[in-house]
Amino acid sequence: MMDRNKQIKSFISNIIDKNYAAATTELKSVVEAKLKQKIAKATKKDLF
Amino acid sequence: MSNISDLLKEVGKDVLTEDSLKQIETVFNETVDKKADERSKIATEAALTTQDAEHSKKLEELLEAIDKDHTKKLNKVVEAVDQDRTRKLKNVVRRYRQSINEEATSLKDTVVESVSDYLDSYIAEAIPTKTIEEATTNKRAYALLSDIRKMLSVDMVLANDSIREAVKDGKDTINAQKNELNELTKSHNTVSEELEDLKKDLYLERKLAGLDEKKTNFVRKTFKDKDLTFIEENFEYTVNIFDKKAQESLDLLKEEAMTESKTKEAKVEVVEEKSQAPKTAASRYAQELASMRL
Repeated sequence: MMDRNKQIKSFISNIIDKNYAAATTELKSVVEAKLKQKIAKATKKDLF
Repeated sequence: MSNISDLLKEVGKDVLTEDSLKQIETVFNETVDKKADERSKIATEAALTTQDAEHSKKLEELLEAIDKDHTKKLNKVVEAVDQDRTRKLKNVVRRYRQSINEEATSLKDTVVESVSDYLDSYIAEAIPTKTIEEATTNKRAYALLSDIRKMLSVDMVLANDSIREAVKDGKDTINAQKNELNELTKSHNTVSEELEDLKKDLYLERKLAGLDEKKTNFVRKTFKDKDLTFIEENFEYTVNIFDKKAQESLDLLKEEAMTESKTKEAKVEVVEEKSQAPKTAASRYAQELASMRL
């Protein structure tokens, strides 16, 4: 969670600095982490 | 002071009439008065001018002194006011800076949370949670099914009927050949054992030819479960041991016969010596020979 907040802060900083390439990378990482979290949550449910 | 009229009377008592004198006196007096007025006026103006100059100078000095004093005081006032305002402004700046920093930190956290919430809502809208759960379930089910297929040896290829028959035939053939191989191996082992026994019997027959029955029985009994190599290595030694024991038994019987003839009723205690646990093959055979009644 802390890492994700750091990544979001870094994303905002890069947007402010107009470093859009790095901002895109950070945004991808954040979105990927969020999707992984959702998948992990879904995996915990019983299959049958 | 004598009047001008009296002077003129004395000077011109024969020339001037009374009227002339009066006129002269009038004119003279007027002229003198006029001149006196002019002179007094000039003196007054000069005095006033001098006084003005002095007063101006004094006023200038006074103004200069007042200016200096006021300047000095004003400088002090300005300096004090500056210090006070500077201190107050510094306090204000510090306060605002602290407030700005706190607010900035709070604002930063708020912005981060807002962005995170926005991303959550965007992802939830773009890829619904139900879809993710369904995809995850499908993936897990597929993996589970693959594991089950592997476990049951039911491949995707085997799902085809024609290939399934061929694989079944192949499996049957392999099983039949495996059974045949087992039987052949078993038969080969039996034949090998029989061959070994025959070789052993042949060897013993050849070696025991011409020997008496007791020795033959003893040797056969000793080498009953032994292989041919062992028999070849230990045959001579076994026969020698048998001969030695037979000789010892014979000697013992002779000694007993002699003893019985001398002391008919004397009891002879037979002391049996038991050796410790034999460890070598020779000692084992010796023990076996000793236990036998020859």
